Amino acid sequence: MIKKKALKDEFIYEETLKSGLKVAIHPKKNYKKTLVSLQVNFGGIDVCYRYDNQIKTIPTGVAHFLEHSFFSNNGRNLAEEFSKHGASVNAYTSKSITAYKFNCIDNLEYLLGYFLETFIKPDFSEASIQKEKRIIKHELNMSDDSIHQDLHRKLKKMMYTDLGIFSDVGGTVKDVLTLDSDLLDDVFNVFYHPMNMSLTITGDVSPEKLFKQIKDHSYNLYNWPIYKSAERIITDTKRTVHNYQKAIPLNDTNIIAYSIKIPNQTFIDFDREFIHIAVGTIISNAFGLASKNFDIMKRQKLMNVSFSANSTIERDYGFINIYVQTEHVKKYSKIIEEMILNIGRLPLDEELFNLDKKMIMGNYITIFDSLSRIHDFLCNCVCEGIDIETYLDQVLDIKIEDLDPIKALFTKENIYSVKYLKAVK
Amino acid sequence: MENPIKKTINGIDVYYIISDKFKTITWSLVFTHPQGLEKINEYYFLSNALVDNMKKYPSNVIKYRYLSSLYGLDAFGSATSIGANIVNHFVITYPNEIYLAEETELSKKAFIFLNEMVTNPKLRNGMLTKKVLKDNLDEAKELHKILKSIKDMYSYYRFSKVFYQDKPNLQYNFPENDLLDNVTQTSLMDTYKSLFSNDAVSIFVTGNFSEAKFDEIIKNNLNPMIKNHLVKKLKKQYPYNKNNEVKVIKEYDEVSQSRVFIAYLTNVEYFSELHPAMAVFNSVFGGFDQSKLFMEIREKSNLAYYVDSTYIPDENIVVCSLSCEVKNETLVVEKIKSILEEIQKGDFTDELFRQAKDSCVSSLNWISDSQSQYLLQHIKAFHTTDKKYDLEDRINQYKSVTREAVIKVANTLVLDTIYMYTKAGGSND
Repeated sequence: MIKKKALKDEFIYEETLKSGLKVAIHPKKNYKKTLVSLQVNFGGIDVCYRYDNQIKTIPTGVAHFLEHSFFSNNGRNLAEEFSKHGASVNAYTSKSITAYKFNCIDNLEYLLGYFLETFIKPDFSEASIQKEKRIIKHELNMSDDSIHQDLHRKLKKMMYTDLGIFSDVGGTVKDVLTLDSDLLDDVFNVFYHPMNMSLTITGDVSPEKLFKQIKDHSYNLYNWPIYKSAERIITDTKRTVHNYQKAIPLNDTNIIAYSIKIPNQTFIDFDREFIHIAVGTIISNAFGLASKNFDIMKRQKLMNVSFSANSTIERDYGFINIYVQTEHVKKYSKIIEEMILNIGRLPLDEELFNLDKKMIMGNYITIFDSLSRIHDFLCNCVCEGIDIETYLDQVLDIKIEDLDPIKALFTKENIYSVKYLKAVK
Repeated sequence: MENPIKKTINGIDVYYIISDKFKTITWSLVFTHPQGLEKINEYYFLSNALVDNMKKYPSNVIKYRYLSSLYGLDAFGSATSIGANIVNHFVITYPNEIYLAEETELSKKAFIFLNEMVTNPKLRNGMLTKKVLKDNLDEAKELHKILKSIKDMYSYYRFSKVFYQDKPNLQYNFPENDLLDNVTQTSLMDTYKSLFSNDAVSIFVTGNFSEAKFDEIIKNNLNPMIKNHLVKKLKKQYPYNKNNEVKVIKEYDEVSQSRVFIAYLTNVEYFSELHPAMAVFNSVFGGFDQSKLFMEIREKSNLAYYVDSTYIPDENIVVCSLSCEVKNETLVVEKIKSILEEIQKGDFTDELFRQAKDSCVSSLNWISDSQSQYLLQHIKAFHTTDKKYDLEDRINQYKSVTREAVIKVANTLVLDTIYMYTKAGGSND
């Protein structure tokens, strides 16, 4: 195990085990809870891939369905068992990953053993598959009521032709109803190999003891087949329609979203972490609280608490979102488009760029206060292969000119917008 | 974490919660007002106006660049209710300078900033400006429109309106939309002045710091305008009547799923002897993923994606919330009522009871892992009971809750409101 210094009194212990599972353990003295996450490099985007020299296309929502299914497999009920031991278990699926999580105060050794056992050889019963179909149908219907989700769906559909990107993580009800245990088994065999997974533990724990337990566990000792990586297939075709607007009956406000698409080529030229840092720095420079643009919009009352500027950076695609609900549609649109294009045309605000470094340092220290925030950050580092020991220095070492290739993406051909407006009475 | 050290500096009650567990320092300057609801919007606006309207940092660019130079110091104001008093908190959090090689004066600069925020706003002719008032009013109105576009939040907002409509002087919505136009430049300024002439003031500090150093920082930098006054701590008086007439309200919108809220009143009081039993009851009822509501309604009957219950101890209420198909809403309400009746009769397993207690203890433990939560519990405890918040003692109280106590508190529940945010013509009524 390798000991890495993340802060002057914070250390992370990492090792890749015999099975291929990457493990990171972060002891947090005096914290009551322990958080554990098992992450699978398989998410909602993965609907088309090459495996064993064959191209496979699967229905949307399989990753999310598998996530639900693991709670009840091999006649075991995860939530029930964890609850019996005073712990709780949860999971989520994003576009890039599926993550299974539990937290406990006591019984870590037993719970970790039980947890890992779950992922060796699943057996999903027909009854539990049918039950999950009914539950997921409810879940998907709930999102139908959200005008914001509808708007973001529309925006993604304008930017991308790839079904894996623009579809919901949960898939469509139609696709979900077609799923069966054979398909779930096939997908499990491709993606749920320890070489494609990572385990992160944060809490008042002994790394030596835990590493020994995990190494000796049947999950690590299991005779896993030789790992064959699936090659994910993403299509990124040029789009012609960049703007869309419609009036929504009963809407009391105008909802406006702009997106700046990060082309697929950028993900080939740069690693995801650099894109993440560069985009975050540019957004802060252009639209953060200390930016001149923020002040201008605030003074002109073009924005309010609904305003947000953030990014979605997934494994193979990404975009920047700028969102607002405003009364001033025309004026806001004109100014925000100009501001977006100016990012590409003009130099960044150097004074703010330098001040942001202090803020980044402060935020990095602050993350260690919250068990869940530092745990999530560490999960991301392990999953992405980021070296936490050098992470902060790398971020602080970035020079303003290093951001030029990302800054150059802020051009008309990458900008898309969707406006849902109040219907004229 | 250690319990707070209480002392008086420059006439102000100061509470230090010193611990080496966390990497940040948080200061909370707390103003407790003698008035109740009548100035609700003014207090809410003040919490924003003072943060956004500093004389020394007249624009966002100047202010937030300064805060970036303080390593991203986070500053905010909030207005909330503790008991029947309204309380304004002005809070700053920043990384502890022990992790910053070149910085030794950060805490001093941070405390000076906190003082500036509260005591030195931009004024014109001795008043908070018209622009400040207009900006706050406009923002509050826009906030309401934004809320309306988020159906889950809006349905809860509407439910709370219905629940409180027959409970005058108890509703705490910040801001109170119906009273917005009553706020004037004069009423806002009078409320601001009353912070310094009428309010009880206290300072809470958490983090890993030297007591002597922080004593000096406060002594030398606390603005003399900030003075402590005696304020009567008011308890909320909830109407509680076993023969309560139940309000059943449906409101309609274009929705594919119905949002249902069911509110029950209890006479079990905040921090009372039965408070832990009520929390355990809530876990048995709908408070975690093995609760009766979750198992019966979601897992067995698949009638809802989410269904839960929440105990709000300082409001004396338990609220069930769920989302279900419109055609099932009446069926689900009846199921919830019958599940409550089962608990009232003691029809729940020992295993569920044990797990529910564990779930509550686990949530309590979570408090000590969060600096902000721990701080808030201390502020509430001092306000409500004048005692230190003793986490270990509370955990022991929860551990010793009996089945009988859970049944007893379950039988205090009185159905008050059934609210459905639903689609017209979709129900099987």
